[in-house]
Amino acid sequence: MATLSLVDVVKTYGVVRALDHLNLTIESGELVSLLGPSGCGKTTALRSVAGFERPDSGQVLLNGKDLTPTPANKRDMGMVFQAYSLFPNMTAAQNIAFGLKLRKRPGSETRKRADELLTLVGLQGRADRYPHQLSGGQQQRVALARALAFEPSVLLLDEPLSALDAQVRVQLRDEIRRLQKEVGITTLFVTHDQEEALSISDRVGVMNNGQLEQLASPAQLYRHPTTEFVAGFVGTINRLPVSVRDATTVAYGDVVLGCNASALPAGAAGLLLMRPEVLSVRALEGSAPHTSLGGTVRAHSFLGPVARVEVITTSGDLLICDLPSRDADALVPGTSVSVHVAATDATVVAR
Amino acid sequence: MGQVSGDGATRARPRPPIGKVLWIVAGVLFLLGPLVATFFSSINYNQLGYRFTAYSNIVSSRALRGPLWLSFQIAVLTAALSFALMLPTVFWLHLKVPKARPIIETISILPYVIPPIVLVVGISQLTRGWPEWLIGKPFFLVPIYVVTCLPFLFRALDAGMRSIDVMTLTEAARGLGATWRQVITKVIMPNLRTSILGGTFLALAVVLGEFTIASLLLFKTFPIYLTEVGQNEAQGAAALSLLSFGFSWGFLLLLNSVGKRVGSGASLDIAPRVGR
Ligand SMILES: Nc1ncnc2c1ncn2[C@@H]1O[C@H](COP(=O)(O)OP(=O)(O)OP(=O)(O)O)[C@@H](O)[C@H]1O
Ligand SMILES: [Mg+2]
Repeated sequence: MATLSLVDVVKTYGVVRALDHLNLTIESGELVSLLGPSGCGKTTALRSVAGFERPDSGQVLLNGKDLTPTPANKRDMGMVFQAYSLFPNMTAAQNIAFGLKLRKRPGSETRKRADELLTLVGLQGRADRYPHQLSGGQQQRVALARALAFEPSVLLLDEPLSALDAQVRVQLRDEIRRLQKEVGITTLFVTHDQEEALSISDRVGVMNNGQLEQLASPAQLYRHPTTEFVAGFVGTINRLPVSVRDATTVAYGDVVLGCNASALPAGAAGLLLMRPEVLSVRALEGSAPHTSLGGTVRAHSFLGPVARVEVITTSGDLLICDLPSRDADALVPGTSVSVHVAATDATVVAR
Repeated sequence: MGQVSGDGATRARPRPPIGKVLWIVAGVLFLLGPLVATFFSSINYNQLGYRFTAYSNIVSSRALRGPLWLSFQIAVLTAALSFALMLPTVFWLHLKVPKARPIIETISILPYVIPPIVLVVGISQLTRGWPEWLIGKPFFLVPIYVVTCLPFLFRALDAGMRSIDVMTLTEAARGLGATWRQVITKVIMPNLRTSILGGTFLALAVVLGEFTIASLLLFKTFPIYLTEVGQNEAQGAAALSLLSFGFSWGFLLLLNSVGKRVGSGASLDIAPRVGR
């Protein structure tokens, strides 16, 4: 069991600040994903943990022990790479056994463990295949088995699925999660695919420009993003410019909307963030009540179970609303509507 | 559709072989022609007809053994020293400073473009006053030949490392607990089998054929002996060059079979040994 922490880690390449005072703690047995756009520093963070990059400052701690002076081969971390990384001259079983042989485990134990892991990743009977005789997905399974074989205290995965096609990707990501839980290993998973991050993680860290914007459970991250960047990066979000009235209300023009605004002082300019599916839309007779948003339907698209309705508010902002498609039939373009949001479903962040 | 492609297949099948056979014949003639010609001149004693005297002389000759054995030792030492120096260097180049590769590549070609005579003059200048026991021994040729082989070995190793993902394989091995030495011996080298063999062969060919430097430094290596014999007896020289050619090939085949065993079986064979 191991707790992994990055403390104030800085890493620069020339003028590029790949990691800008990054702080992150992964609890024992937890799977944390780092999610973020290309170039935000995810790989650099992972490589600093693995010992392939030396941070300019800051520390990587394993169970509170500083790993800075420890070279990569002594860090006791299993790693799966984005690129295919199996040793081409070794069979699947030999690849898996590599870490154990380096640790001078007896041959019989090594062989037994390799078989065990091959079964665990669903490749029993493929022990004697060379990497070039395996599909991409199978190679990554072997790579995962190889990383777990020597029972490391931390598992690191850098976009291990991005070279695979969509179907295999979904299947393998679920399997990684299953194995991770089964083994109970502390895991750092890097990806730029939000669905991947949300579906398999205990917590997701969204990175931007070398910093961690928010670290939270997938549901928390999705429902209550704390920054505009996180809101925009994960899923679809509606943003309305508002000003904070007090801790529980904000004003959008004349409309007063309930929400938790306690993080911002009264009078501050904020952005009200709302997911499309939390908005309810009703065709309007007369004028809108001053606790909901008035507007006009601009477009309506039928997506099967839901319909996506685009509403332009009276102040000219766009709201995307996902409704059960049954309820949305009447909302044809041009319809005057009122849009309502529950106070608990809206978040305010500083503008 | 089916018919058309079926037709195409049957019509196409007999055609390429004629072209291929022609190319193969031309290639074989080109490669074997000189060898066959050399062979005939080695057994052709004009008025006396054809006989294998040259070969029996060689086999029984004591004078040959010294130079041949010397050249063989120098060749092996040269290849070994070259790889000991170049393998880690080229590995490091690929891993840490890939941007410097073109520069190093250019530098590595220098020994090839500098005439041997210039090299020898430079070396004599450099080693003037060095003790006799060091520069008077034929093994003094080894470091010089290492330099001479540099262009070939660099290219062989460079091509090999470009064909594998050095960075990812290295990091994978490091992450699994390998020391730098283990990375090179257990991961990089087994995957560079072809280029190491090729490089060894080139080094052997260079050393077993190098005349100028050895002659100027007054060491009696195999090529020097060969020319001496050739001045006295044409058949003997032809027979010797054929034999040295066969010798290089034989050595290569030997290395190849050894390399194959080490390359493929290694990881499993090592297991019990490491375990003990
Ligand atoms: N070896 C390097 N030399 C110079 N700059 C580098 C190096 N490695 C990374 N960088 C820079 O550091 C920044 C962060 O890179 P990093 O690879 O960590 O991003 P990432 O989040 O993994 O992106 P991606 O999703 O594209 O993999 C980028 O701007 C990148 O250009
Ligand atoms: Mg990356």
